[in-house]
Amino acid sequence: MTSKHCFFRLMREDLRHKIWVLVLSVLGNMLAVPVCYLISTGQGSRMMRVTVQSLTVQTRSVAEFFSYSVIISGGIIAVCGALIVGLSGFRYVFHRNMVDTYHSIPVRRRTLFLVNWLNGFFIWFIPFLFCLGLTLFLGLGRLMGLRNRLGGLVMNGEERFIVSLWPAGGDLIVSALITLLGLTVAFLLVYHLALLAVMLCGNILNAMVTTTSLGVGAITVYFLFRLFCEQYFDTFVSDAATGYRGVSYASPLVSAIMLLYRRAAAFEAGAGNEIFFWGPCLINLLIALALGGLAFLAYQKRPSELAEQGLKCRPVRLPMQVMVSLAAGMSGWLLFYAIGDSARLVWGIFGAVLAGSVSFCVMDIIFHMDFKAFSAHKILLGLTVAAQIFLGLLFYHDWTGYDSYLPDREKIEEVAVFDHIHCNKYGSYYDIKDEMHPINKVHIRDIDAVYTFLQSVTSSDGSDTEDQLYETERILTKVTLKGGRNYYKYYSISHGNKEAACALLSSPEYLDANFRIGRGEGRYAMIHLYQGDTVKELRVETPEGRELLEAVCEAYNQDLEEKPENFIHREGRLFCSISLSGENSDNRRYLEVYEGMEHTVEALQQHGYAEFAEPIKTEEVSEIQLSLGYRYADAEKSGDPVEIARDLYGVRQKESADGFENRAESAETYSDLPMTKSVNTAEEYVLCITDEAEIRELLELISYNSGRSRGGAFRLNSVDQVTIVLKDDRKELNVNIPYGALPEKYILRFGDL
Amino acid sequence: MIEVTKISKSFDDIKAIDNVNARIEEGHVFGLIGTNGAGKSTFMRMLSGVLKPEAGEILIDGEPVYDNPAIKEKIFYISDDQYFFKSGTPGDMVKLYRTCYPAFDREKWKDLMGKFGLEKSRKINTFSKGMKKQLSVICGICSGAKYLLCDETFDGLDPVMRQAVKGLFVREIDERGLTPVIASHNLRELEDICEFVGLLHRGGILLEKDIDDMKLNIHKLQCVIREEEMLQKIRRSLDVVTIDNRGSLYMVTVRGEKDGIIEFMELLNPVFYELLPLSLEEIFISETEVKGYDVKALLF
Repeated sequence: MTSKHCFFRLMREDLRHKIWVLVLSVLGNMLAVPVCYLISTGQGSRMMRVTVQSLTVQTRSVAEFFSYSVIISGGIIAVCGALIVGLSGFRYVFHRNMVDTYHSIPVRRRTLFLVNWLNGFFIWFIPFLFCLGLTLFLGLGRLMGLRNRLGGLVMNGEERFIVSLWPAGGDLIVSALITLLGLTVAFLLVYHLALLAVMLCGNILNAMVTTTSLGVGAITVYFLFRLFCEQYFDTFVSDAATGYRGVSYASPLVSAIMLLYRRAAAFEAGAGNEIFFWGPCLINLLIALALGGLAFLAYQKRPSELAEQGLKCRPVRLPMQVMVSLAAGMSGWLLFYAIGDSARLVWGIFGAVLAGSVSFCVMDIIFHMDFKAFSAHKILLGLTVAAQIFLGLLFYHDWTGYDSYLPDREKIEEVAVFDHIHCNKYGSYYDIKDEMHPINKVHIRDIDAVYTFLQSVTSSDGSDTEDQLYETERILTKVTLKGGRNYYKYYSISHGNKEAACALLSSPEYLDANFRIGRGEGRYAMIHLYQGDTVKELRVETPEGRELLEAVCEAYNQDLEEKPENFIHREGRLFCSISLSGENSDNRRYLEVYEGMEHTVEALQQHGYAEFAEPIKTEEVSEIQLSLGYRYADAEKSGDPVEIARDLYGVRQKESADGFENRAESAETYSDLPMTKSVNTAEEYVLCITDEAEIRELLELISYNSGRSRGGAFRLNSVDQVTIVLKDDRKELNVNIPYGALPEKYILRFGDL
Repeated sequence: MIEVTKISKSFDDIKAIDNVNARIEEGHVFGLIGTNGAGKSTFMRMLSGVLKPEAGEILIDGEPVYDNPAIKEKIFYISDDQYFFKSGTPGDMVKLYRTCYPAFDREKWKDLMGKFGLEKSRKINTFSKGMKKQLSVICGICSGAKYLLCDETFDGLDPVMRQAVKGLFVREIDERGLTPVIASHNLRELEDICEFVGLLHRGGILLEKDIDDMKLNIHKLQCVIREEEMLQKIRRSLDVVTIDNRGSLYMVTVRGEKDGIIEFMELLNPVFYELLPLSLEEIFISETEVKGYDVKALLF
């Protein structure tokens, strides 16, 4: 059986028995490509009026289909198709009588492999190619039609520019070819993975288990390790975890999907970004070829007697069994650890032992195709379970010293820190290693301060210095060692050890990167001033807006220069917030103006915005309402309003020499009585302060909500259950008061509710 | 000619074939007999190139068979559970065999299908077990292969069909030197078909002989003797393999030429004697007992 004639006859003969897969492939590809194209592009064209914009939208939808939509719809068919043809194409190797027939006929094994391989590939490729070609033809026709319709329209300069950016027919063809390449590589990855599994196994169940284990096993274990790190390492920075890409390549099923995602992402990122697709595409192609080569070798070496058996190849079976058992054990640990309310460590170990041993035994049964084989490898089972417990304890007790790792002082090159609380920029930073991420813009080389900070955060867990009034901040830290190696950690900063962090946060490097407004930053289009519910909006293009922007920026930078620690400690009342925004949502700043920021306050006053730069005057206030929040009737009976108020406002009970003060005796005489407001089924308990002296006293404490009031290790948390009612139209302003700052006499008044 | 030299094959811990030698001449029907699990199917699968021996070699017409299409064109293997396409017809199977066997004779196939009364367009899954066996044999005969390896093929055939197949084999042997190799655990089925037989037991071939030679040289002697002295003379003078008795009736298996035995018995002059031919089973029992095997325990 060496002649080409016989080869093609054999292919035809083989294909006759796979006609059902071919029919499925044709149907699937028809639905995924031309039908999908007609649906996605046809809908819009009927609804839109003929304008340059509408035609542009339609053109984009055509281009988008060949670079984006078909990746999703065609990708589903390619990946599912690869699995189906891979697992079914060589199904004869699973049946003894079929093996006897096919391996006794005068056909070389490599010829048989090639015949089956080609048929499997063509079953997907030819229908897809046909459907893509047909759709491309439709797409090109549509582009021509849209250009013809454009001919009747009168365009201005901007519209002509937009039209010049329309994709040409050549762009569409190139785009379709790149998509075809991406889908082909993804198909080959999954196809060869399935073929390798088939060649190693004696039946379809084992082949499916092997395909899944090899296809997603490595990345599953990787993510479970990451979950363990997140669960047990306080300082672990998930986003900085390396190895994801490498591991994804070791998991061909995931890698194929990732490749398609990259193709779609490259399109979304705009023209010229295909470069980010080519690298992974080449790597995946090489992996696919390697898998194909392995599948061929496994087929050549495959003993015929493997048919109807399980998985005999020990070098594949045992690592796979251990990997699956490890993944199951780690999942079991995490699951039982999460649901166990007490003795969680014991539950975690129980989960690891249960899931690990059950999965190991089930794999034994599957691989041996024998229920009695569930304890075939007792020693290995024992070792695997022991390894799972050890791993769990390793993370649980941090035996590696991950959280407390402190490099030698002389090895530290520089440190960068970032805390979103201490930053006036808004931005979306997905990739921590992206140079645009703020952490990569700070380079603090004051090794004394750096080492003091690192010592402070690694030597103590912070529990002994925690203050309940303050929140614990997690500061993202990047430590770069001499030699270029670096690592990322989240260090916890509590009120007790904040000073070491303050030295870094108030360093010029940090302030420049995260607070200072550069002179060249003329990109802002809008200014919003916020004080409570009062908002003032200005456009920067107006003279008034430009002047205010320049004055505020200069004053803000001056305050930063003179009192940098004010920006970290944020002491005093918050008067207002200033939002500077541009066209791009990534380019936004949010300046908080505290009463200690003299220059900024002055700048606001000088430019006619004094009301944003000072507290509300006592004479303007009708009353101040202190709320306990909404409470439902049933809940109210069980709670002591004073205790609730203490919890809510953070006011602790004072101790006297005789113990706690008698509440009735300490209650001062007051004129304002608590009252209730009914809202639907709930009631809001509100203490209304109308006494002028008390209003003045409270106004001294009040900050004005800015929508971004934040506490942390440096500034007290705020209680936002405070409302100022103005005399003017009884307008209500939601404001806040520092946690624990409310005088106790107000708390005690809630006792009369 | 098929030459098997010291082949071995194991499945996990089980030694299926252990250091087997065999030589199968062309143009004869070779029977491979053995108990269940003796390794017949494994031996046949190795002969057909399905399995690869772990040790030793199998040469067919001087060339190794494994993954050698040129040699495999000379072999057609009918397994004990022959595969047919699901919902396929005999015509579908022929398409496959015609693709693989260049010498496949479609006209002969049509002719034989007609003679055996098998419908070409009927689905094979509606065929009886015997009909499937017939179809396999017909396909094998028509493939043009020189060696037809039949594993338990005659199990499902009725006596009439067995004779028909035997006739077919004889014709093919005469016409083109076909060499059928038939594996079975049923000696009676092979007795009237095979010329040479090999006994396979526990992975090894115990013996390999021409049936006619075996039949000519071994006989069953039934006799009634008057005195014990006669029995001693029989023991001393004849090549006695086994002696059994029911009262005064003795059944003695003896080797040697028929005429010589008759001459001796005439001189001995017992009350009664009769010389009977042995069945294949009896021959094998006798032959293998000589080699120290308790074949009665093996075969019955």
